[in-house]
Amino acid sequence: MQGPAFLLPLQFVLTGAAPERRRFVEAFEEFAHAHHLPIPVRQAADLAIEEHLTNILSYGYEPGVKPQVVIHLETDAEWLRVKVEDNGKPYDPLATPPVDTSIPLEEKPIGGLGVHLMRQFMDELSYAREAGKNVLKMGKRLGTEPLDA
Amino acid sequence: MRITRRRLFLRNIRVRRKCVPAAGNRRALNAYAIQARARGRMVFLLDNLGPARGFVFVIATPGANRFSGGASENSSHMHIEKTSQGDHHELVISGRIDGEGANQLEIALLKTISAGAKAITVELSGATFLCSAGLRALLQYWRQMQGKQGTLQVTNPSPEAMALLNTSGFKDMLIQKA
Repeated sequence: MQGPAFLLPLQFVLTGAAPERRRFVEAFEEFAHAHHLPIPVRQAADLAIEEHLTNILSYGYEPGVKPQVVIHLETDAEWLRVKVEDNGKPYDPLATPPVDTSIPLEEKPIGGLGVHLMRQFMDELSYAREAGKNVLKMGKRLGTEPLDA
Repeated sequence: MRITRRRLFLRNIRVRRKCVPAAGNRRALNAYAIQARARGRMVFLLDNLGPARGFVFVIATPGANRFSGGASENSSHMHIEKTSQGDHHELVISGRIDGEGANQLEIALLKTISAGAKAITVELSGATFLCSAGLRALLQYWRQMQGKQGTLQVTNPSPEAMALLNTSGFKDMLIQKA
């Protein structure tokens, strides 16, 4: 019974295997399409989730720990809400200092850009450490205009 | 010949399934098909593949035109096309430059540099997605080229790529238009 699932919140579990990321992207597209999410909202959430997953899956785990990352997506008339829970080391992305984008390319620091983009593209971000898990919540208003190109 | 998922897969055509909940609800099905066609997608009815409730399969060939009205159906793949003229090399990137794509881009840039490129142009008009890993790869090789008195420039970015270059302070990488 696949039909009604299109209209429910989406829950997706990642365990660190490479093909899962691509499957998640497809599941997200499916979800965005079924819920008629505006294009700028899709793009913002797609980017923010990609950045966060890359950070936690690349740096968030001690060797030998099996990742268990649960992504939860839901939407109402006003918001797209994303929750990402992981069992990695305590990691608060919001503690990352802001990036000064005016620094010329020659001297630009190489890190921190991912969190910068999450902040730029999403409307709400909050972090909590709950029961041994990192919980990042991100919200995007459905009515938001795209960032100026 | 019956169109099957497998046959389409073998032709490298990605298949997306749209399920219409009510059994035999041809009207909803047709409405969806019209909408998808308006976005430039190829639509096939493949009732034989699913339960009898009716399915539309929306199909787009890889590399087909990008859709401004909807998520690209082939966006989770990245493709690099290389051309060179003397020591000027161009990489035309299409699709999704995510973490995995950034690795591919890095390898391609590295190969281009070891092939003796003095000027590298990275064309991003077909990039449907760009993330910080892609920006980092560009920055790393931009610096490497600077160090060798060469150049790396980004040209013709898609709106998605442009938004990222702008918000990250990477505009100096763009070819300055006269």
